Order: sequence, then C-alpha cells, then structure tokens
Amino acid sequence: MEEEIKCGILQGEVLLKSYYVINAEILEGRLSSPVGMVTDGIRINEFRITTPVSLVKLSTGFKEQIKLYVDLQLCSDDERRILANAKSGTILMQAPDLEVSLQGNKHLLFIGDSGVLQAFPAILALARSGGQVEVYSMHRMGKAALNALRSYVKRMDFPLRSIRGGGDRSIAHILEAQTVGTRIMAFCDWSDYSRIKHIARRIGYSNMEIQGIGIGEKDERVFCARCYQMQHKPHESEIICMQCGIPLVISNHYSPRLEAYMGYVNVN
Amino acid sequence: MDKAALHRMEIKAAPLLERFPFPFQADSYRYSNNSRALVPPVCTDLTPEYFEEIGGKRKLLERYPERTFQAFPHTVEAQWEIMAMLMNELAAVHSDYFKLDKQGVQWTFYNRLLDEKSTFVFGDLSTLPYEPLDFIGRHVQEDLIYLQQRDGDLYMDAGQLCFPANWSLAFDLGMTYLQFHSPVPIYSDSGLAEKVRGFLLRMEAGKPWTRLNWTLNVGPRLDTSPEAFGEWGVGRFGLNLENVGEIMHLRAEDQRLFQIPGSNGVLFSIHTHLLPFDQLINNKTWADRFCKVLEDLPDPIAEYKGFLSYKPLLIEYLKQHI
Repeated sequence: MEEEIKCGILQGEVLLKSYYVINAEILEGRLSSPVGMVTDGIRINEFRITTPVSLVKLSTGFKEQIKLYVDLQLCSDDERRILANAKSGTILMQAPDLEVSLQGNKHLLFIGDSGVLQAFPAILALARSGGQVEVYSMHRMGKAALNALRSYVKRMDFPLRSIRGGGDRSIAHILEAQTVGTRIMAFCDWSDYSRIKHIARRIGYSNMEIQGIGIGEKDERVFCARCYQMQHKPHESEIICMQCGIPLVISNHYSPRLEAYMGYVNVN
Repeated sequence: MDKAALHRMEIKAAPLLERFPFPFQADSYRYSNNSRALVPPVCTDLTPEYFEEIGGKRKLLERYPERTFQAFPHTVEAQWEIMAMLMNELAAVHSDYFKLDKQGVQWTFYNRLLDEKSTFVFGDLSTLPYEPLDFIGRHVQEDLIYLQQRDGDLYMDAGQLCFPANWSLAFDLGMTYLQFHSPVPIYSDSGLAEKVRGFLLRMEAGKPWTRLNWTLNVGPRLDTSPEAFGEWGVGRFGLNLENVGEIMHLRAEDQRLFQIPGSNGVLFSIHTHLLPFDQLINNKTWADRFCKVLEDLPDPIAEYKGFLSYKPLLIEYLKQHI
C-alpha cells in the first residue's frame, strides 16, 4: 500500500489569478523527490479535491515544507470554495505518482500550454538551488498560460524564451548548443514530450538527462515486427498491421526509444 | 580447383559433431552467469560454414539494411576501435587467411578467403564503404553487438545482427541491459540479470569472457529474426517422429565478451552453430544429457524458446535413439 503523506496547512493564496498555492508542513510520511505531481488529487480536511496537484519540497528548518499548486480552471466551484477556505487543517495525499529529479548543473525547461502547473514547482526548486536554467515556451501557447508562465519565471529572475518556429530543427539547435551534463525537463502534452525526447536522443542525450511530465492521453503504440509500421495500441492483444496486413500479437516488450510495444508476427 | 574451392578446404574441416559447442554442462539447465574466462582471448572463430554464412550475411545486409545494422552516431569511435581490434586479431590469429598492412593511418585489409582487398584511412569514414562495425562484420561469421557503458548501465547502442534468435536490433536499439532482456522469463525477474549486468560493468580490458546460449531451430535457417517469423515460424507445424530428426536443430550461440577500453563499452559477439537432431543422436552422451535437460526444463523457458508445444515429441525422439 502506498505511503500516505500528511501535511499541516500553513497558508494558501491565489497565484497569478489562475492558480492556487498552499504552503504546508510535512507531518507524516516523506517525499522521495523534490518535485512531483499527484494526479489523483488530495484531501483537504474532510474534503476531496480530485484535480491534479503539483508540488515542490522545500526543506527549511526542523520540518520539511512543501508548496502545492492547483489549477483553478480545472476545479469545480465546490473545489474552488474548499481551496479558498483552506487556511488551516491537514492535507492527506498519496506519494506523487510522477516525479522529477533536480540533479544536474544546468537545466533546460520546455513548457507547453498544459504543463504550466506541473512546471511551477520545478522552476521554484531550480531557482532556489541556484543552478543555471533556461526556460522555453512551446510553440503556440495560449495567452493566459503564457502570461502566467512569463510572470512566474520573471519572479525567479529567469528569462523566458520561445522556440523559434516551434519546429524540430529549432529544438535541436537549442539542445546541440548545450554543454555536457545539461538536463532537459519537459512539461507539455505527450506528443511534444515525445518529440523532444526523440530529438534529444538523436543528438546524444542519455535517458537520464531527459525527463518531464507528459500531460493528457498518451498514445500507446505498437511496432510491427515485420514492416516497422507504428500504429495505435488497442485494448486487444492482437491486431492486424495497418501497413502490411500481417496479424500481430502485442507483447509487453517495450522500447523507450520508439515509445512502442513490440508486435510479433502471429502465425497461429 | 578454383581459388574459392581451395580456400574452402583450408579452414579446418572437422566434422560438425566434433566441433559443435554443446551448451549443456549438466543434466539440468537454468539461467545463470555461466561465463568463463575466454582462453585464448580470441573473438573470431572460422568454420567451414564461413563462405555460406558470410554470403548469407551480406545478402541480408544488402536486402534488409535497417534490420541488420543499426548504430547511433556517437558510437563511431567505438566502432573504429572494434574494427581495429578484430582486424588485428584476424591478421594475427588467422594469418593464413587475413592480412593487415598499416602505413600510418592508411590501412589495407586483405581477406584471402574471399579474395578481397580494402584500403582505407583509419578514422576517416569517407574511405570505408560502410560504418566500421558493419564493414568488419561482413568479414566474420559472428554477429557483433556494441554495449555502451553510461550512467552505470549498459546500452545497446550499435550492432550488426544477421542471425538473431528471434530478437530485433531495430526494436531493441537504445535499450538498457535489463530492458532488452525483459522478455526472458526468470532471467529478467529473478535478480540474475542485474547480477550479470554488474559483472559486465566490472569487466577488464584484455580479459574477455565467454558463455554458451542455446535454443532450438526448426530447419537449418540461421536468420530467425522476428521480422521474418512469417517465413520460419510455420515450420513447427507438421513435425512428427519421422521428420523431427532432420528438421529440428540444436542452436548454440558461442558468445564472447570483450571490454572496449577506449570507448568504455563491451563488444558482445555471437557465433551461431546449428546441429540437426539426427546428427546429435550420434553422440549418445549428448543425446542422453539433452533429453534430460528437456525433461527437466521449466515450461516458461521452453515457452520462451518457442518449443513448449512440441517438447514431448522431441523427448520421445531422443529417447528412441539413446
């Protein structure tokens, strides 16, 4: 059973109009990573918030403190009321199911529309650690998300840059210009996260140097062993390859590079 | 007699049964770190099948380049190092058949068996017709896989693979040691894979290791890639006691592991040998041992190796001939 973390609420406030931040103190349990996300929501006193919550651990003094971030636009009216009234009491949550490590001397952050909430904790933690940081907004970010990101990044004294044209070449150009040991963090939808990973690996970044939080539905794929065609992974365990027409059995053998499961030729 | 025929005779032509690397040391088989020090420390082994296998390899490389050769750009230095190692070895150990002349960075490699001569500038890709690993792989019977050591792990970053035992280089490229072994039952989930990875990470230059792996083959086909399963996978239907001796083969992989010091990686070579059952039974000790191994083999291993459904047939055949 996953360890439950109990925190004492210290204060809460609205951040950049669209987000809510709660400062809390860890009373029981522990966080293994400094930055993470609880996708299932949290319990504030006797109420439940089902919206995903991102968090950053701030070790100050005797007890560890954390900051929790919630996107108010994803909350129901009831949840917004709960948050507004959460000035004291306790928070209960499971350990984050998505985590980000802060190892490394330099970090490149790629942030998309859907990843601003997830990026806040990492931006704060990196600012506090004093390492080098470059923050890039993904192409075609919505105005509200971009403004919120710009404001937050400005508070941390980081420049916010955009990816010229948003294309793969621009991303590659940024990644190629870095020194050895630079770490990449992506907070965006899965397709952009995959794109960044592919480009980074092609250039020579290792898996350990690329991390992030993908948002939304991840398109799981099957690799046809015969013709190498990629296709959507259904719930069924067998499919017909859409390119070569061969029946395939979908295995559990997974390629992180291709982000796909092996579909073996079925001769039965 | 033409030159090629003459050369064919020159490789020691002991009968297959005498030179086949029988993979079982006991009457029972389980996954283990069954590596031993490689003595002498030689990667390449020439057998009378050389011409057939090199010809087969080169056809596959031309016809299915994406399937048979993959390499990340950052492995070029390692590939040069491996190519140099193997060329030096071939010229030293198999000096009747290979020669290597070095004039500074200008090298000339002679393959007398195939009557081929290649001159190139060492370190200059533009002077070779293929990437270095791909080039030297076309002169040796072994499949060559390069594992790059990085972040405390081993990554399959390059390889030339023409005769796989049902695994795909195109799919597995870039995987860590544990990831590309994940389909192997028991080995991958018992902690053994982690132990062996630790062993490989501690390997020293100049102290290679070797181990034997095995599976069964329906037919004499070396290319048992998942890409071609539609061609070779159907062979298991229609097996019976009358034909199993001729059709079924014991497939042994002579694997050799060399630390590549300049690039901090491991060269993993695989030389595949096939022995038909109807020849294997001529060695009664082997037949008896192999029968016992099959009887004792856990079902998940037999399933993974693809012969669970007809294992009883194989045992029956062997028992008839012990």
